[in-house]
Amino acid sequence: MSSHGPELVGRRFSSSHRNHITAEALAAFARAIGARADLAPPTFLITFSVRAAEEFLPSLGFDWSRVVHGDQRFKHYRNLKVDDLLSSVSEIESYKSMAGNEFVTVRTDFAESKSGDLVSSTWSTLVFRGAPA
Amino acid sequence: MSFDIGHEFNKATFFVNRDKLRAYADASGDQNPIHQDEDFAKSVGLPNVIAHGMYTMALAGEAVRSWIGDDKSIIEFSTRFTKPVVVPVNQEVPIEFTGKIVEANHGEIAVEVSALCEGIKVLGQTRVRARV
Repeated sequence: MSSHGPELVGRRFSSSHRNHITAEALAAFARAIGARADLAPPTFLITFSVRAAEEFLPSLGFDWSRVVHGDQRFKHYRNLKVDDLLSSVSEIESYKSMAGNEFVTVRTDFAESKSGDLVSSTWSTLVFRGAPA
Repeated sequence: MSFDIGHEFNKATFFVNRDKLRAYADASGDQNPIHQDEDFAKSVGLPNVIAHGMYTMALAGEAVRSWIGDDKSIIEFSTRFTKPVVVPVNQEVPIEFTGKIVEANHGEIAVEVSALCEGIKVLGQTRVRARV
């Protein structure tokens, strides 16, 4: 098991994925939660932020098979819409280790690819459970 | 509709089953087997398959949209995941959401949401800020 420390705070990561909001993806997400398909649900960006974290944290030695979601926050500066193309940058905002579990909070900022204008930010606290002794 | 501090919204109940978890896994890309595979879930010490925390959060969002109007912009949304929603096979598991306006000014409101599954609080400190 890898050990991490507070020096992780401030580590940044740019996803190589194109965060493209397609009508199909939005409709599938809306259908799965029983929402209308023409307005982006407020949690839709989780599809992109989890994918970014899943690339980023294992590259730092975190075991993705031991992850649980601790808390989640979204801040939207404007409504999302079909055909938005967003770039994303993730950064570790906090790290702590408690009772063998590691708590990592990752902020991901989503901006319009073209203008660079900030669209939304998400914060995910992921808890990596320590391996059983 | 008026949005005043202290206003309490009617309970909104959503039913969760295995098919819905599979649909959410496909739509969200979160294919962690603890949300679909009972044997796997039990092998890692869970009582059974559990719902994605983000699925429960998404339903909380839908509850709020049903209360305030789904055309309103949600500008902030936060929660903690306190207890898992356990979803046994062939069962419809109810999650009950209630909400209360705790802030209202300048066309913005904050709604505090509670989520109960069979009497257990499954989300904590859930808050939605919306432009109304």
